[in-house]
Amino acid sequence: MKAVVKIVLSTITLLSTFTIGFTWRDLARGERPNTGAFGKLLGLKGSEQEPEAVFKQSYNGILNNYYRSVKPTELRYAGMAGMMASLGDPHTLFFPPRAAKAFSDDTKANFVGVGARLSPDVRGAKIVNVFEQGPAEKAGIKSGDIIVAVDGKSTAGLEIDDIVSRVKGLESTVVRLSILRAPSTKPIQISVNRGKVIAPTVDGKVFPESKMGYLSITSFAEPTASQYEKELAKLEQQGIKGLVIDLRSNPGGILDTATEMLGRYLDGKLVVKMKFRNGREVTETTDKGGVANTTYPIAILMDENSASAAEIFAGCMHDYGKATLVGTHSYGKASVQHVESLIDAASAKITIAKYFLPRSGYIGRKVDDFGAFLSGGLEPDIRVELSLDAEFLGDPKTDNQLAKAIQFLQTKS
Amino acid sequence: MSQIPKWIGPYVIAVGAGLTLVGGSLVRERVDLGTKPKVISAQGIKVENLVASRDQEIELSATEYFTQLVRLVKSEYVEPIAQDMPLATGAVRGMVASLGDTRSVFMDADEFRAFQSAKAGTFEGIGVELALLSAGQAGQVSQAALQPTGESGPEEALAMSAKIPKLTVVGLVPDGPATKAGVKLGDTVYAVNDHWVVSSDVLDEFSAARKQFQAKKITAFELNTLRKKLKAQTERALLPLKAKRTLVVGTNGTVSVEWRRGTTPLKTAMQKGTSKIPATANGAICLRFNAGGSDALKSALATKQPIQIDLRNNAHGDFSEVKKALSMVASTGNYGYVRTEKSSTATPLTLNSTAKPASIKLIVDASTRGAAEIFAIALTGKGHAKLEGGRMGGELQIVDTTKLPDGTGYTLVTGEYSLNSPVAAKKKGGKE
Repeated sequence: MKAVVKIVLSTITLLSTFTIGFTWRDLARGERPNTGAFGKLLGLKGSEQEPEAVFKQSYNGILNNYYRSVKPTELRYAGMAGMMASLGDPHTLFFPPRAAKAFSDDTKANFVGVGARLSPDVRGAKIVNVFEQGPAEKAGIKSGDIIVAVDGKSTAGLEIDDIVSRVKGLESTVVRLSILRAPSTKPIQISVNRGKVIAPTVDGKVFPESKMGYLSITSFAEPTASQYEKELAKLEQQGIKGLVIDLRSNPGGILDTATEMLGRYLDGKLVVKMKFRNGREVTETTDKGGVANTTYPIAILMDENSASAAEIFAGCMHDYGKATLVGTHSYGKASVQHVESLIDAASAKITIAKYFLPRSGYIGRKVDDFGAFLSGGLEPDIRVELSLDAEFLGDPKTDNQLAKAIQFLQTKS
Repeated sequence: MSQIPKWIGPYVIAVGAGLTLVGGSLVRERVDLGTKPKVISAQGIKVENLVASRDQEIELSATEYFTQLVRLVKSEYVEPIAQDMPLATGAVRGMVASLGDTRSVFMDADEFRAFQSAKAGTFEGIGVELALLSAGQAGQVSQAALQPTGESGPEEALAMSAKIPKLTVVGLVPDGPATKAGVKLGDTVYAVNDHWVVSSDVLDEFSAARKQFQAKKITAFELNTLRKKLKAQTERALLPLKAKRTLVVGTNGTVSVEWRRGTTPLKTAMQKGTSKIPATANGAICLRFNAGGSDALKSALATKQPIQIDLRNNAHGDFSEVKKALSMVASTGNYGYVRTEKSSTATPLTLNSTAKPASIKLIVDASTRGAAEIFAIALTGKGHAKLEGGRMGGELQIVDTTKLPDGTGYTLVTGEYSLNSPVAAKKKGGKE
C-alpha cells in the first residue's frame, strides 16, 4: 500500500513540475496558461483551426472566388502587410520588393554628389548653398551661380529634380557644368569631380533684436555633432542671451550622435535604456568630462515630426532640466527596429527593442487601428501650435512657435 | 527493490522534479515554435527559406511564406506574441482590404456579429443599413481609404479622399432610432460625434475656393479661414468604415450624426439600441436572406395565397438563400446569369424545382438591394411575381460571407447577377 501511495505521489509531483515548466512562459508574463499549447502537445487539433489553415483558406478563397482577377503575389504581400500591421505597432511593417528597395535606398542615403543645394530658376537651377569642403566648393562654384547646362545639355525649362539627377552620378566621375555668374552674361565651364559629400545638418543664426541664438538641426547624421559644436561656437562668440534649438521635422538618425551632443550638457548621465524581448538591457550614457559651461537658457522646438534621436536629445535635455520644450507633442518613436531581407527582395521591419528616457520613461506612440495618433511622444512644457499663417520657419516674425520660445527665453535671461 | 537504498527515493523525486520542470519548458518552446526545427538561424529560430542570402532560390507557397514570416516576427518582435490567430486574421484583413472594393470588407468580431444579425433583421446601433457609394461610377477605390496598413495612417487616406465614396443610408429599420430621428434613404454621413468622415467634400470645397481666390473673387483672408477650417476638420477625421462601425455596432450610448441630404445639413442625436424589421408588415412577409430566412416563405405558402413579400430595407443577404427561396416559389428553368470579370462566359442560374409557381406580389424600393434585388428580378423577370413600389437599388453583386475562428469575418464579391445573357447586357451599354 505504501509503495502505491509513493508512486502516485511522485507521479503527481512530476506531472505538476512538468506542467509548471510547460506553462512557465505564460506564468512569467502573468498570463493564464495557454490551453491551446497542451492540445498541440498531445497532438490534438482541437476545435480551434490552425492560423495557417485560416490564412490558406482565405488566400485561396479570394484568389479563386473574387469576381475580379487578383495577382497572387500582390495578394500574398497584402496578407503579409496585414499580418504585421495586426500587431498595432506602426514600425513593424512588411515591405513588398519595390517598397523594400525604396526603404533601403532611403536609409543608406546617397552621399555622393557635388555638394550643393539647388533651387529652381527659369534658366536651369540656382545654387543656393555650397557645402563646405565639398567637390563644388573645391571646383570654385559659388552660391548665387546659375547652372544653365549639364554636360553640354541645356537645363532651361527642366524640373529641378531632373536637373539634380543629371548633376548626380557615381563617385569619381566628372560632371561639366555651364555656370552663369553675374555680372557676366557668358557662361563659364566648370568641371566638378563627384565625390563624398557631407551635407550640413546644422544651421545657426542670431536674431539681432533679441540677441537670441537659433540652431536648426535637420537630422542626427554622422557629422552632426561636430557641425553642432562649430555652429554653436559661432553663436556664442556673438554673446547670445539664449538659445533655441529647432528639432521640428527632425526624423532623428544616429543615437551615438545624439549622445555625443548631449555630452556637452550632461556628465556621464544615462541617455536611454534599451530593453530587448529576452530581458536583455543595454544602456547608453554620455561621456564624462565633456561638459561645457552654458550660461544662457535653452529652449527646444519640436513637433509631431520630431522623432527618434531628436526625441532622445530633447527628452534628455528636458529630463535633466537643461532645456524647456516648446511646440507640440513629438512623434513618440521609442523603439529600435531590425530590417530582415527576405528571399524575394521583400523585407520585414520588426521592432526588436524599446527604449526608455531617464525621467520621461517610455514615450511610445499609440495609434488606433486606423493609424491615427492616440498618445505618446514627449509633452512640451509650453504647448503652442504652429499658426497656419506661419510661412517661413526660423523667422520669429512669421514663425509663432519660435516667437514663443524667444519670448520665454527672454523671461529667463 | 531491495538493492535500492530507501534514502535515495526523495532525491530521485527531487532530481526528477527539476528535470521535468526544465523539460516541460523546453517542450513548450518546441510546441510554440513548431515541431520540427531543422535549421536554426542566429536568432535561434527556423526561418530557413524565407530570410535572404541563401545559396539557392526557393519558391515558397503563400502559406509557407506566411508561416515562416509569422515565425520570424514571433522570434524577433519586442513583445512576446501569445496568440497566432490574430496574425492570421490580420493577414486576411490585409488581403481583403487590398481588393479596394467597398463591398468586400473585413469586419472585427463585434461588427461581424452585428452584420450577421442585421441580415436576419435584428439591428444594433441606430438601425440603418449603410453602404459606401460613389456619386459617379463605383470603381475601385484606394485601399488606404478603407483600411490603411502603413505608417502614415489617416493622412494617407486623406490624400486619396477624392476617391473615397460616401457613406450612404441604403436601408432603415421602420421604427429604429435613425428613422425616428428623421433620417431618410439616400442621406449621407458627414460627421459622427463631431468627427468629420473623410470624403471629397472638404477638398472640393477648398479647391473651389482656391479657384475663386485665383480669379480674385475672394480674399486671401477668406481662403486662409477656409484652410484653417479644413485643417481642423481633417485633424479629427474618421475613415468611412470606422464611422460605419460606430453607427451599426452596439446597443448602448448615444451618437450624434451630421448628415447631408443633397447639400442640406441635418443634425441628429440618437440613442443606440436594438431594432427589428418585423416578421410581417401590413400582411406582407418581410423576407430576410440569412441562413434559414426562407423558412418564413415556406410557412406563408402553406397558409394562403396570393402572398405579399416586403423586400424593402433589405440590403444584405446570402445568394444561397435566394436560390432556396426561389426554388420554393418558381418552377424549373433559367433565372438569369452569374458572371465574373475573370471570364467571358456566364454561369446560368438554373432551378430544378418541384414547386408550383405561386401568386406573389413584391414590395420594393431603393432599399431593395443585393440578394433581395436579385430575388425580385429573377422572379418578376420570368413572370412569377408582380412588383410594386419604386426603383430598386441597382446592386446586383453576389456577396459571400466568411466567418473566421476568432469571430471576425469578411464579405467577398464573387459575381454579378444579370437576368439576361451578359452578351445582350453588354450591347445595352455596360455594367450597372
